[in-house]
Amino acid sequence: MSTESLRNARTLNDSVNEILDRYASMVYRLAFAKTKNRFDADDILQEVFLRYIRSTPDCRDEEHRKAWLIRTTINCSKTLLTSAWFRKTAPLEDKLYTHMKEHSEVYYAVMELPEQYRTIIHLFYYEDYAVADIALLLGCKQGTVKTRLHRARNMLREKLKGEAFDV
Amino acid sequence: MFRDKYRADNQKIEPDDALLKYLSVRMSDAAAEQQEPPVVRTPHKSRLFRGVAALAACLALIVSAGGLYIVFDDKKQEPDVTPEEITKVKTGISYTELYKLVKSMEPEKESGFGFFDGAQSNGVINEDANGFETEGKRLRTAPAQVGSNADSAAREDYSKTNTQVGGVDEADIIKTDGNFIYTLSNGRLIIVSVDGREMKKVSTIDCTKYADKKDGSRPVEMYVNGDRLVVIKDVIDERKTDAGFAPEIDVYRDMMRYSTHTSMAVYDIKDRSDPKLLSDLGQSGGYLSSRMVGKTLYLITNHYINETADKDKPETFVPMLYNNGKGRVVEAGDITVSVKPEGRQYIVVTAVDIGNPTERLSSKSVFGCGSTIYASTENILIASGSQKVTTEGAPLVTTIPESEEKVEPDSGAQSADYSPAAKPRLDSINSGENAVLSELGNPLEGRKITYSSVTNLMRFSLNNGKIELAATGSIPGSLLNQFSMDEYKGYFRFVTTRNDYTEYTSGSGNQATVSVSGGDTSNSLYVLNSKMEIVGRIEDVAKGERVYSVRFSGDIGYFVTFRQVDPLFTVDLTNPASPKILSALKIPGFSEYLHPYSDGLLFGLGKNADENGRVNGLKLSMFDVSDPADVTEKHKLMLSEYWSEASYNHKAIIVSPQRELIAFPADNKYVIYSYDKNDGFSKSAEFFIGENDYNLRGIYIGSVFYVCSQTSIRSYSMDDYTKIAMIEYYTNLK
Repeated sequence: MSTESLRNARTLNDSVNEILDRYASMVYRLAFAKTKNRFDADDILQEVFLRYIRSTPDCRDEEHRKAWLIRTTINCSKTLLTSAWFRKTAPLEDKLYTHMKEHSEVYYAVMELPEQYRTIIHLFYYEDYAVADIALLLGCKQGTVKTRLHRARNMLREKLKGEAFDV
Repeated sequence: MFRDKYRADNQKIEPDDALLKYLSVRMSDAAAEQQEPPVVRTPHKSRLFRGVAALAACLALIVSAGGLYIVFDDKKQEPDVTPEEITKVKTGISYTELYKLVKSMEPEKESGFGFFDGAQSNGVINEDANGFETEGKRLRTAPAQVGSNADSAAREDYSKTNTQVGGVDEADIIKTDGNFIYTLSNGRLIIVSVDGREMKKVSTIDCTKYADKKDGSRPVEMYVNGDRLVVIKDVIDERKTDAGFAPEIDVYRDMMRYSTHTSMAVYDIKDRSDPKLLSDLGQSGGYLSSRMVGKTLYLITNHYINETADKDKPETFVPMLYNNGKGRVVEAGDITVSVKPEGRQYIVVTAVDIGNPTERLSSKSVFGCGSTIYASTENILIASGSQKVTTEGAPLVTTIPESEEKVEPDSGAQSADYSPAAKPRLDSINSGENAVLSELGNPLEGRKITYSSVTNLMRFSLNNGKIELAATGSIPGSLLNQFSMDEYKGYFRFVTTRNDYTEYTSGSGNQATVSVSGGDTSNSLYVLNSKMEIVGRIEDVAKGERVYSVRFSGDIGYFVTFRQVDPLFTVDLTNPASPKILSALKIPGFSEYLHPYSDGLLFGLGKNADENGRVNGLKLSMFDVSDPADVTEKHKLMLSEYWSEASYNHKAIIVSPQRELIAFPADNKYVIYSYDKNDGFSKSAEFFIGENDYNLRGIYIGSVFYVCSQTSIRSYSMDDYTKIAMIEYYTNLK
């Protein structure tokens, strides 16, 4: 085993707390962007990390681990959204108030987008993924990601007239 | 600027510290479980992902817009049997036809859909039997230690699992037969005798053993019926699904690692101190639900095919049945293709006589999916949520993905490996998109796509164990849970919430915009006949709200919707063809669980809400429904507790009009309330339970109340709720 792989093996065997320190916020923010409420994001956070522990994915590197966690977050959210789609229908304020005291128009505008657009906006603008990566993460074609990104931007421009016009 | 603001806002969103600490402990536990002693994973505390796993899997193709394209791509393969062609029930389908069908639905590159079918159904908390054992038999056959039962008469009076339908038992993690308490904990089934005021551990069954594998299964729920005990278990298959599954993307392969089947281990517990395994019958798929009618157990699983079908190996595309670990493929004659399949999934329904559990009474597989189960003594209804997509105006152009790919500036980036490819910069993406839309000349102009939720239904007739798929149908909207369905006098009643929205494309070139409208919800009630055809309906009730709870009681149905105040609707269903809303009571908050109490009373457990619709704690309500046209909230009590498992799991609550008692877990306590018709609710007792005690259930036997957790049973005298005794199975279980 090379020094490099030894080091990798060690880093990847990080303690539970280190993994949580590193990724809990990431998972939580994505889950929140998808579900728009704290309770569901709490649930998804737990489910994702418990799955991580139980399935101990063979992560080659940090990037791979991150991708696994994002993909799993998306899957878990999907499960929840299809079961609890109704939560999406409560007025926005109800779901956002817990976290949204001092948020800008921008976040509200994103949260008003349909769910599939929010995810792409989040991965693109917050997680800094390229279109090709987003396509892989979502399991769809790059063209689809682009179309959605384009539509999402148009909707955001419409919503944010005058503000943050550089979407 | 947009990016900066969005990031800054996201930084403010952090998970709760306490939750992280709790999660850290759970993860460490789970990690420890992975090593050495075969221990079951800790059952789920949160309300997450019960049987809906399958639903998600079957929606995956449809819900994501990407899925739309997948569907169209499939068409190009022109399989002999396409999903679109099969709109009616078809039986007697051959393996070859099934193979073609499954093959036609295989994704090309995308995958990961089957993810949920695997080790996913943990934490399913179901409920218990209504005690079909005859009392004489139970007492006669119980072992000697029961003989000393001094006050057997008083002890006949004990609580049973709270079930939806009388005569139809539901599985749970804790059961009692009045003499013993049975607990599933930590991978084991523990039998404790509760003779008089003493508790004694009588025996323990290791439920992680499956066939010859030491750590082959995890118990989920159980039934106790006379001298039979049935443990329903997730079976872990460590078979890797390497074959043909998006091999270039490791991420997916990791997720596919486990696939499960579900088994029912039937024990003879005539001698409670020495349970004997009679048989272990398994079947493909994750556990959806189960019911017991008399001595017949019905097991329902959802089998998702997460591997590439191989024509010569039916096991790759047909469900399996297992006897004590040995599998065989379901016969083609027992497979039905129903309605319009939406994913590579089967529902497998099996009946077993637990008196004679060496073979099944029958087993039927239906190509399709399900998520919510209702069962009466005659029928099982399996419902699955779906989405109907209708397009108006310009045709839905299938060439979009292709033509976009043509101008893809970085199409080479879809390389074999998952690695962050060269990230195209923002401006290149922008120009790419504009190029796409210009080239197409906006073929989408004027296109209108409507997405509407629908529920697909399958009715299985039980015929005392000879299951048959009797009818299929479909209703608009989505169900809340099993209480959203009901059978009464040959009619089937459903309450659904619709949530439809429309995407409209306008403009052209880079001016094209897609506007999304709708998302307005409304609620409906449908009455269906036995052919699953709608014969009566009420639609567009409580627009903008959604259903929070439903309960049918004979000719009357109740349902609660909520946005800011809680309308409790009372519906007269005497004439199935014309259901009528009798009243709508508006009160703050909402009920999440409704339970017919007695003498024209309806109990509701729910949440209180302020005038803005903001939720602020649990609430008990007693509705006076003696005059269905004038329902009132007779008594109510706001609790300081915020959360209860009973809000979403009816098996966690006891509602006993005879004892005038309502008991359930709330926050980190177990609380007991009494109800008096004149004075309303009052708190009888509350017990603080340790942090590591979860999955709480209460049981009363005679004059003793037991609070059962994953680690212990505590007993209290019901006269004054003083503690009598405690038995702990695990001291170090976290």
